[in-house]
Amino acid sequence: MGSIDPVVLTVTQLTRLVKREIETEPQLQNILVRGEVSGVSRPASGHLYFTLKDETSQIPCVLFRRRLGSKPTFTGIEHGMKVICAGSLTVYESGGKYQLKVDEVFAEGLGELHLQVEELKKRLQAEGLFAEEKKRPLPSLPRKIGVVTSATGAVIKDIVTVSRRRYANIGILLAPALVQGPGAPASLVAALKELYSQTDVDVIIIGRGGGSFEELSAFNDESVVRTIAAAPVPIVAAVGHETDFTIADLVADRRAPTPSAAAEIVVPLKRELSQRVENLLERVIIAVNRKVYLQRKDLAKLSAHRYLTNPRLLLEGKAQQVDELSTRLWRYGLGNVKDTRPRLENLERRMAVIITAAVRESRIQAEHCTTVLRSAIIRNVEVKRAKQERLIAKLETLSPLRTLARGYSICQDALTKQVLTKSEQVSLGQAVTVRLKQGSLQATVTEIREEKA
Amino acid sequence: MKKVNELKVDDLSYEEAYAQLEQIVNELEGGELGLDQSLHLFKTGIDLSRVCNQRLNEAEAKIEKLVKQADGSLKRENFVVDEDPEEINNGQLPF
Repeated sequence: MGSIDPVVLTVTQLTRLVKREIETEPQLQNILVRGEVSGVSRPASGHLYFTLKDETSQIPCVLFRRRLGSKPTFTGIEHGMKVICAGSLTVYESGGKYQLKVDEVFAEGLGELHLQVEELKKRLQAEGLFAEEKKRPLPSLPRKIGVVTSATGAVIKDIVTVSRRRYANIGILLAPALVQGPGAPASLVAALKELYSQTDVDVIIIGRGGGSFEELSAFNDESVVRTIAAAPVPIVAAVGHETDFTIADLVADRRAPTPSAAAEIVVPLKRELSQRVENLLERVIIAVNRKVYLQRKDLAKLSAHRYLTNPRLLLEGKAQQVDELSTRLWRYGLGNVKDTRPRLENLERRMAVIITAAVRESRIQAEHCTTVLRSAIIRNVEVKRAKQERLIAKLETLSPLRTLARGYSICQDALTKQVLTKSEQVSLGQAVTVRLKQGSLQATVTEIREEKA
Repeated sequence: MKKVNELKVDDLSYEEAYAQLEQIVNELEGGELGLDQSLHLFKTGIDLSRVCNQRLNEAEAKIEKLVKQADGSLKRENFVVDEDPEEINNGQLPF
């Protein structure tokens, strides 16, 4: 047995080993650390560095710019503050240091509430409530959009404005709720359940404007979160702004940074949907037109067949047969009657008459056959052509623009865009839009004549 | 895949009608069909696009709120937001 060489590590190898040990150790990842802030430094890179310490120890902390965002709690970090940091332990290889990569900083006073939320988040995560496969797709055309938020304030107004801009006749059903304060969780749960009982609501937006951690606390309430998780229809959460994540945001099927953005996710652009249908219709018409064109070409080929353009060809074949037949008859007949000429001369004459008549009859029959055949072919062609004309006419009448092209116009309520079919749908002085084949008119109703249907 | 004629066209939702219309376009563009079959699909295609447009326009432009009645039942009431009227007018034509 040979001697075992002592293992010599490079500094990099050793550092990597330590890094791997630390960064894969669950007890050192996603942890909460309590301490006092000191040595705050904000270099030009935009990252934030400080040290967290207690009576006997200290640890360097880094808050990367990406995490800093616009969080007010982060900008207020100062020397001497007592805080709880949420984050993970990492190794800074080129400095040979271990440090806490901070995700969240909570002021010590709020610590208890934060800890409760973190604990709830972990518990729900373990239950699988945030799982990606639980997220449902949003309906492409919701019949009604349910909204849970305050009946006053900018949130509902933003949602209505954005929704109507995208889809003028979209229906919105608001279930008003308190969004902050002690009664908020119960109120949110009740409003959600009310919307769940409405069968025409296909998607729900739950939202409020941004606020402090305490103001958003109803959206971290377990009963609210569990009610959202149990929704029969997809839910879009728009709680707070950008960086203020709540558990409601995590459990919802989709998260939107603002209520306006939620409306944009939920409400389709109507002209896009119409355009898509229009495109498909156009492709249907083109495909069928092509089919009709090809069929018409086939027909033209058939019509050009030589029997139709020159029916004598049919007759010629028949006439030849008749000639041959009559020649053979003559020869046979004459050979037999030679010897008994005197007695049979009369018979010969009669036979000649009969044969001539038979030949003429055959000729007439052949011509008749030709005529019948020819008219049958022509009729067949005509039937096919007529059928095609009918189908093409149908194609044309079904085209939606035809109606307008014929000089009809469509009159709509200028405001709701509802198409007017009865005089009772308008009132005097009301503005209406008249759509013509080309362009449209804005008009005012100056007289209404009622007419009973 | 669902056959086009299994459901009455007028009972279809927007999504269903749109999916069937897409299917018809694919079949027609495949070009394997006879004239009669093509025209039958054409007719169905026209009906489906009509249903799609109908669905797009039938939603009522209503903004409502749920109000709890004394007996615990829910009622819908019109809900008014003070909104710039320009915004409403920017809507699409109903066809």
